[in-house]
Amino acid sequence: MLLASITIFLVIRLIPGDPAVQRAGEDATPEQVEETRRQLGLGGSLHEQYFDWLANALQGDFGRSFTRTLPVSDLLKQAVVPTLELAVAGYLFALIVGVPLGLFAGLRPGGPADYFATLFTIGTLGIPNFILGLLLLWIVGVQLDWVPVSGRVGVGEDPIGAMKFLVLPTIAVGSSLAAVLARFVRASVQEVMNQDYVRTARAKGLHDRQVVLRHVLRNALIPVITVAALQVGGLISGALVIEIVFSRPGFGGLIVGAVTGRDFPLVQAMLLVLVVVFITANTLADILYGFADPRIRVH
Amino acid sequence: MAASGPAFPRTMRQRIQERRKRSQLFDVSYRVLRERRGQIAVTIIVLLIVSAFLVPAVSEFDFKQQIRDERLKAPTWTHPFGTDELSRDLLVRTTMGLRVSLWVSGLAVAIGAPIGIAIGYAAGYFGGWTEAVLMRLIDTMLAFPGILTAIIVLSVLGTGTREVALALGIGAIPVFARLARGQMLQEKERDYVMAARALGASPLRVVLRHAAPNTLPPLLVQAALVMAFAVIAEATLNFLGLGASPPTPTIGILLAEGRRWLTSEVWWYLVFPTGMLSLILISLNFLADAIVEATNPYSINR
Repeated sequence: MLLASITIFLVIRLIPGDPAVQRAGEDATPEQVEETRRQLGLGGSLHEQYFDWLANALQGDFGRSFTRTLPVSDLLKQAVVPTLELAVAGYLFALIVGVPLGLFAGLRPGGPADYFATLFTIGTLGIPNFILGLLLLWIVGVQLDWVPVSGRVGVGEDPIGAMKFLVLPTIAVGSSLAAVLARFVRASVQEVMNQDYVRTARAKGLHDRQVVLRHVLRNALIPVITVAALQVGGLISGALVIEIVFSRPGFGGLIVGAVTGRDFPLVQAMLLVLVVVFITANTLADILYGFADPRIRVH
Repeated sequence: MAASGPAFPRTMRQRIQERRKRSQLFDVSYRVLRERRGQIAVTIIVLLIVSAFLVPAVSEFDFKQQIRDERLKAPTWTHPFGTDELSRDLLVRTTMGLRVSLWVSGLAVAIGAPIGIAIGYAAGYFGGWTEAVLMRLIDTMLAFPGILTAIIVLSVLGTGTREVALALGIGAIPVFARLARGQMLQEKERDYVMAARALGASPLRVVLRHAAPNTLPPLLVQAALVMAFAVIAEATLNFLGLGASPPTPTIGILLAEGRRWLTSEVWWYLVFPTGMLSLILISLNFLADAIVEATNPYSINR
């Protein structure tokens, strides 16, 4: 994580163009440029700058945005709720659709659920997230006019309105993960169904539903947990793009604006936050795996 | 090597020499072409490449040309994909975009694969410090998932088509490195590697000449999948305005422009670029499946 923070810091410094010169104006004297540089926190040697930045960042102070003159932490706070809302909704959608679909497909290979799962998978392979968003926007939002096309309402203010705004982006964010999960659960269920203990459970006369719930599902979901947790990173970067498609406020619009506007502190801070989230998710995956499968903990 | 032993029957020796002439790459491609999905994939990809170069060359319209009185027209025989808001022919623009997609994603693989594979081979073969340093580097890169690596690289390089290809290529390095390392770890324990080393072959020769061909199939699968990802990422970056600048048509830019004209009448603006993209993606995924199937020693009937 430390290495990642150094990388972020150095890479951002590689961006050509000196922001101090830009900010001070075209006919600024060298002294004025130097002054601006100090104000922006770009004075001093590279490692001093880095430690300053890291120390402040750990206290929740990311400095001021170059382009918006607001503290970066304020901008982040504004953006984090909409993004989190969309990411969580998309994740839940993926779990609710993907796991049962994979389960039914795995239990009856060649059945209707399996057929649908295959179709779904090919569909999501061929249509990337953001295009699915565009298509949904166009069909459901414009043609059928069922839901508002763009923007966002806070869940606190108007829960039903918020849902309307959230439905399409959620589907767009969650579908590809749902397909991945469905495929994975299907393979996992098929493998478990061939295990001896499933045959034993059947042989001792357990009802089909009990066999599936108690024996198959519990064992089949172990490997799925890892996959589900490892996909969090991809899901969030997908959510950023979807936000832009649906003109929702959030990290997506912020980061693209920051990159094109060469807003160092903002880009740095956002990358740091995102990387911390991804690394946490991956670590969580390992821990969850240990809980779900007691055999892992021995090592 | 064994074939030069005098005790070997002549026919066997010939057969081995015949096999050696057929490289692993040739072998894999041959078997992929016998696979049904492989045939579909290769056919579509070839068709797409041909049309990407033929259509803009043959068409009477230029991708920048604005045709009088033909603004946002639905598909007709003269404009099979319709026209856009500046009265430009969308068939030509879409196929030009297809060309960019194929070119950028191909270039990304061509940049990312050799570097990543070299890192992975070195880490896997030498182990120890080399491995620790290289893999720590790769793990750091992996902390930035998906499109974020590309966004970071683009913020340094500036935007543009070549920059996108480079950014995606760099983003593809860790995937190849990890896979190549895993493969190399398996292969280096095999007896034939030991034999080659005992005969005094240099590490470079052992890795490239002996071990590499056996690690090829999974890497080829990965190359197809990475290319599919690069196609998506390229479209996404262009859609976000981080790619080529507007007069150049790319599929991402077409979609971003089409988004502004999303009304119930204008359907062609979105549908055709999406269709093109889907064709590439599905055929690349089919290709990956076909390679898996063709090189799987356990699959029957091959």
